[in-house]
Amino acid sequence: MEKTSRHISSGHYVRLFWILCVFCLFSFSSIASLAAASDSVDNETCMDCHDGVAAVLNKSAHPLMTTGTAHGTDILCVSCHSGAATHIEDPTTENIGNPGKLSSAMTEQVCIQCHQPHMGRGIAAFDVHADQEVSCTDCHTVHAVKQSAPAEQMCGTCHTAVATDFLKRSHHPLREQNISCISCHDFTGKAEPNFGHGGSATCYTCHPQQSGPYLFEHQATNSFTVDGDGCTACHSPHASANDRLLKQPDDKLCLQCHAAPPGHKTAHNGELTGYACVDCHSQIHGSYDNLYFLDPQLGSKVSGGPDGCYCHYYR
Amino acid sequence: MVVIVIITVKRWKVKNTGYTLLALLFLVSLLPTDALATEHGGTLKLGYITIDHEGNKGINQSSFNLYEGVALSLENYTAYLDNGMRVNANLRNITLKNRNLFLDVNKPNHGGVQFRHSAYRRYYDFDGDMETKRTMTGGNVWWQAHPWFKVTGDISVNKRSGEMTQLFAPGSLTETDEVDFTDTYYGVGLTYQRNRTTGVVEYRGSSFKDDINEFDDRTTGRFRATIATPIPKHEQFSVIGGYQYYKLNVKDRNDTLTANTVWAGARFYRTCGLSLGYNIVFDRAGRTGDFVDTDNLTHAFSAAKVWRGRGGINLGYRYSANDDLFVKRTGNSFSASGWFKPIPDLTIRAGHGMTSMDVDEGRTLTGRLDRDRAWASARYALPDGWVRVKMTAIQTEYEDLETSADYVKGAADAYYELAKFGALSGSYAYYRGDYTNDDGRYVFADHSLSGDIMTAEYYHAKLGFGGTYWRSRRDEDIESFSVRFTGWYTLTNGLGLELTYQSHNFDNFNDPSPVYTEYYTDNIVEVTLTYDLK
Repeated sequence: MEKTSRHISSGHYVRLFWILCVFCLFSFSSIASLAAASDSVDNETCMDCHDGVAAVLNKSAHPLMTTGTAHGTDILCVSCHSGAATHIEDPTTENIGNPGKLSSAMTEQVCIQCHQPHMGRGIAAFDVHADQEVSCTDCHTVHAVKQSAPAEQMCGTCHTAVATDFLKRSHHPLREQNISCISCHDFTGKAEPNFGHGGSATCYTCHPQQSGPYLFEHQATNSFTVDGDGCTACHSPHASANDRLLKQPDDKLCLQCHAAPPGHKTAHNGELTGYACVDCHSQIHGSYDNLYFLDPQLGSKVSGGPDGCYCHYYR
Repeated sequence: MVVIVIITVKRWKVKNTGYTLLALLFLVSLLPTDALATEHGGTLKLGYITIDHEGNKGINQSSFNLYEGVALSLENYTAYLDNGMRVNANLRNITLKNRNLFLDVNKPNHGGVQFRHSAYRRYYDFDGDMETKRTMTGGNVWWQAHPWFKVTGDISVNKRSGEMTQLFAPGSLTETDEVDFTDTYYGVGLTYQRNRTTGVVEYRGSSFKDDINEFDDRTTGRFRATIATPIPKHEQFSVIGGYQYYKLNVKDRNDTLTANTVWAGARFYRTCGLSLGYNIVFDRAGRTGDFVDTDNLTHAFSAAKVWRGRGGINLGYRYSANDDLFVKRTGNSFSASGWFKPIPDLTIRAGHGMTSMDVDEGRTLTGRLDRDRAWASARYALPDGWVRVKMTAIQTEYEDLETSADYVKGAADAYYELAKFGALSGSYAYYRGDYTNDDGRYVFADHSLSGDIMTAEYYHAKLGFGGTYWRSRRDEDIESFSVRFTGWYTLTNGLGLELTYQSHNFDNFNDPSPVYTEYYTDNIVEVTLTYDLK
């Protein structure tokens, strides 16, 4: 059979064109130059006064590199601190650029001169950290030698509620240091929920056996289709009071989307009504065998043989 | 102390000796570091851990990844060598099965090598007899081949083996499954960087090999190219663009998933604190099995204005669409947030976001979705600490299904340091959920309370005490609490003694099983001798 697809209508692109035009018009009308980072002042000149800084910096993530000696990008004081030429003439703290005192958006502009991959963070969503005036220097120590705190401590200082989530009984092993926040949260914006290969790809890194694809997909879990919300449709990724990080306990999770079909609570004279949905629909992530995600061995489990229980062999 | 170690070594069974020996070899290699390094530092730890626990052992209990025995660790080690190289290491529990090893050797702007290994287990039965062992081993290298080009490569091998219950199995019909699979990830990349322009080309692949069921074996491949650059002569504008091709192939079923994704974005910043951003992502995903391709599209706009040190506002809008032959779904999201400092020590933040997803054509399983999220927080800085409160409310409604979830969480925490006496910290978090679905309505409430007190150092000794209490009331009625005591004593010449006692308790007052009672209790004692390498 030939594959088919219906494309996003051209109306969207027309709308997009006009939005871009308005955006550019507004932007070009208000151009102001960024703090210039091209002052031609070498590191040695800065060290004439700031002589203790080099020793500290050379043990940090930003060792000073003088022009022509490094393999990579030269790291100069003026790479980050603008206005050095003026500062030499009149050394005050007011006339030297300090990224740590800029707004988050401006600080980001300084840092992504070298750390470009971070420019892509939040490719299709909003940059939630910059929006809340949390800049690069709030988490990263630029000058000091001190070792950064582990991510689980660093992130927890602001994300208090999330940090306490991990105290719950069912939790990802963050406190045990088997994973860290950045194991899943990639600040270079690589995982985007609306991608065909979206947010669930993060989960499949450690849980490949649930990634499918299956012959019969459970639509809710399938992030490749219109319907699918991926793993987080059912699981709370940080922690949960319920087993297996489930958002709701037992059958209540299933019933959030499904009504209990007639007969399910009255079959076998009601003898088996105590079972959970997934006791029978055990292949809930998807099945190679059964449209209803039933356990392939359900017949033998319930009645001692596959032929003895036709209902449970329904395909 | 020495006697304790000698006695316990006899009981200690070394497994995975390869990694243990490698880590020990590294430790020995540090001995001549003094001669090579201009400076180095870290903490060497040798201790013994003992556990007494009973009840429902499982991944959810505090001792799930703890092992009894002699524990040798090197933590936060850094050495600066005379030739400009650096060595960073964090080798935790080298001699135990729950080891967590990290080693990094690099020379800034030249190249580097990193190695990682971690292992843990997961229990699957009440007594802890059935378990799977999980290991993650990998490393990456980078080489600055040219001032403009950097080459990167990495590999990671995730292994799981052992016995587990079937994923879902009725209590009385429990059957054991054997698990044995290896998932290997690898990647190579090339980064171009000159001035403020960056281009990245990378390939990542993976191979999943199941030794029990070969039917599941599969491979993936992903190619990605990204470029980001400011616009020449208009450096306030930055643009980004990229393309990604992804393919997943299931070996024995000739089933293939593919996704082609392109994205582009532009950002504009002004020194006055104004910033604007726009991003677009288009993605087409398809599968040989269902003969349908799905288009996914997203536009996102954002605008922000910051008054430095005083406050800021942010506005955002996002449009998304998912479309295949049968169903078209579109969504609109709006967000507004701001922060304000009425006085220098007080920061107030608040925001609201809403999303609605409509099914324009066809039917979906869940239908129309509306989601609202509102939040607010305040933080007050004290002379030697801080106090903070935070509140979040999330409301989700599936109109066609007539289901809804209202979720509220609030948290408050504080930290205060009294120079002469020590420091204290505490937090309280409250969660409330109200769910309505086809089966009815139920409400839950969780409370979590945690606190720690640490004394200042007196006569070379420090003491710490802390506790956590957690209660969940819903269908399950769960109570969990723990207490922890720690004492440190500084001996001489960088030597120290650390003693930790922890106790955890868990009870489900509404047991789901007629066969057993869900409970768990443990007592964990650790005695550690520490030595500061300086």
